[in-house]
Amino acid sequence: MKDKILLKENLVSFGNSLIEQYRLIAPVKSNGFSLYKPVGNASEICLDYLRPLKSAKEIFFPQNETLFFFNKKTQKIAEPAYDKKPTILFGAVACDLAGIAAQDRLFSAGAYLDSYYLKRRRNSILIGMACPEPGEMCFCGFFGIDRFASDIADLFFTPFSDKYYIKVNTEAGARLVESLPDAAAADAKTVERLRCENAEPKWDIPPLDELARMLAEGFEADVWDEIAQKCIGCAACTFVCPTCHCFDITDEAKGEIGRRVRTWDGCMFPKFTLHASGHNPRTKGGQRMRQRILHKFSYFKDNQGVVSCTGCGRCAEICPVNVDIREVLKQLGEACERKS
Amino acid sequence: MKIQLKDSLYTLVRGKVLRTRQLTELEKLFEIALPEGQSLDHEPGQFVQVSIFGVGEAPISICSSPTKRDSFELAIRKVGRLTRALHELEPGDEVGIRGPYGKGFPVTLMEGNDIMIVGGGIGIVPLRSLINYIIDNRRDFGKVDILLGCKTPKDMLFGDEVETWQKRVDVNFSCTVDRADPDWKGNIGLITSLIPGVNLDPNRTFAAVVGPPVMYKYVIQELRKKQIPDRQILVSLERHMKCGLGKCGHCQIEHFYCCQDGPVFSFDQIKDLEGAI
Repeated sequence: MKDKILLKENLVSFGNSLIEQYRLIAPVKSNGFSLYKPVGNASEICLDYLRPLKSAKEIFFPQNETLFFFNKKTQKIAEPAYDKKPTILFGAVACDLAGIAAQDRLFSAGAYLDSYYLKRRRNSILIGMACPEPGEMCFCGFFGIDRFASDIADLFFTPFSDKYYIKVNTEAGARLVESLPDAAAADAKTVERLRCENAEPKWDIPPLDELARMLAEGFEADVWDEIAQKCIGCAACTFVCPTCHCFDITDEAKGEIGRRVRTWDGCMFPKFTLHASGHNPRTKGGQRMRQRILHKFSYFKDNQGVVSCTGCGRCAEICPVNVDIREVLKQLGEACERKS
Repeated sequence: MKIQLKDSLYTLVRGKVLRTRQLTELEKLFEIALPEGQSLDHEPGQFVQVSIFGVGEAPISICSSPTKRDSFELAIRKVGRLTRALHELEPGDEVGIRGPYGKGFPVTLMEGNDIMIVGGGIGIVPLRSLINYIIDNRRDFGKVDILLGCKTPKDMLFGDEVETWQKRVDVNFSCTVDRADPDWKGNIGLITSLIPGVNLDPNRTFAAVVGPPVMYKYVIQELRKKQIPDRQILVSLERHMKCGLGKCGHCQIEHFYCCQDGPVFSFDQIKDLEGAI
């Protein structure tokens, strides 16, 4: 599959050619924020951003979704209609693509394939976009995430001069860009140089493998309570996170007709683990903080094979009391050093 | 990647309530049949997600033995919104059922060994599925000891059935209450006080322990004093599972999903997990 070139001035017409057959989702400006949203005309696409305020997870795992409708009187249930039009996610940054890769694992793990997620996901095409400069809160490089490439993307765009270099990863992607001119060897070199020039800064967090050991050793460290002291349990971090996947299942009904709904939930809510009996296995803030961090860095890796933090920095950015995940990891590292 | 996706994991079958029986002021027993004579085919110790449309869904452990095939039973304490609504159900009413889910007691592994059952309070509910399974397959197991404890004699669930266990010559039975009433002739004290008196060969004994969270630590201490290996101490842990499928995160105990990896665990699986017990 040959890589392709698209002139920046042709982006809108390229986007509009996709809209005919696909539901196109791309970053757009909304109330001053950048958000991944369905696009009616490709001129709405706004690539003048760091990364969208919210991650791309809701495209395949909506914040609120109907599992089925029910009729209380007849006891009959009906699954919601499913839009068969395939989705293209355009302009996704590498951290968000890594988030989708993690969610793919979770929702197809074990004996239970999640049909709601996978129906959407398998009927989708991912088009990535290089992120030229990491933001203040970003640390995707710490996880070895390449801002200029993604295996999971069908196509990956890198802007340079007045063009986009299009890395073609899959047949499905290749079909979308068939009519575009092939990239020249010189273009590939230019993009590679761009990537090298933008190498990641160094991080003053213990490296990942060392971190895993520290997390295991530091399980009972007092540092969790210290870190959690300022946390107000709002769980905003879990909502903006590209990999957090906890959800609740509830019923909503008006008269005889109702629906069973799955809604995002978060392990930082104090009542997340509360039993009807009143017993709560995680009563302390420190236990909840530890659960969230260790789920990302240890449990998800044990169960699904990858660390489920992508370094997007959204949790640190959104936190009303400035809990910064990078600081948390650093503090944990220091606490472990003090102990040894 | 063209894989045919099955229907939603959240669709359910409609179970019909055949009979109900008030067990205590708070607990009620429901006998439920699945449509068209389907069998639930569960393992002792597994659970189902039970729901009423418009009210919600909750995980409930199955309290009947899989040897009883044409219906199954749930003993439900009236404690939250859904369980209050469940208590209103009459024979003939329907409930949503999905499951069974999780890992139950490893009965195949337990076969040929001696069994010690330790149940505190409402812990008897999941244990009843195991006890009746063992009694129905009595020749497959060695010596059987049943130790039960509850707050007061009137809190004892399944009283008449407990009496039949007590009368069996092939079961050693003992029972204790925290506070007796004038008619009580049995032991008084914590359930841990019953364990030292049991005569057992630790290497060929499996202990199944279910009770309130506070009970586990002390009971397990006593069982370890008896030299029962950690892998032969089985516990069932309670968590508020929402999906039952290892995805929603509510029942996580570190890297375990209680709904899939449990609810029955051997003690050696969880002894190093601070949050487990």
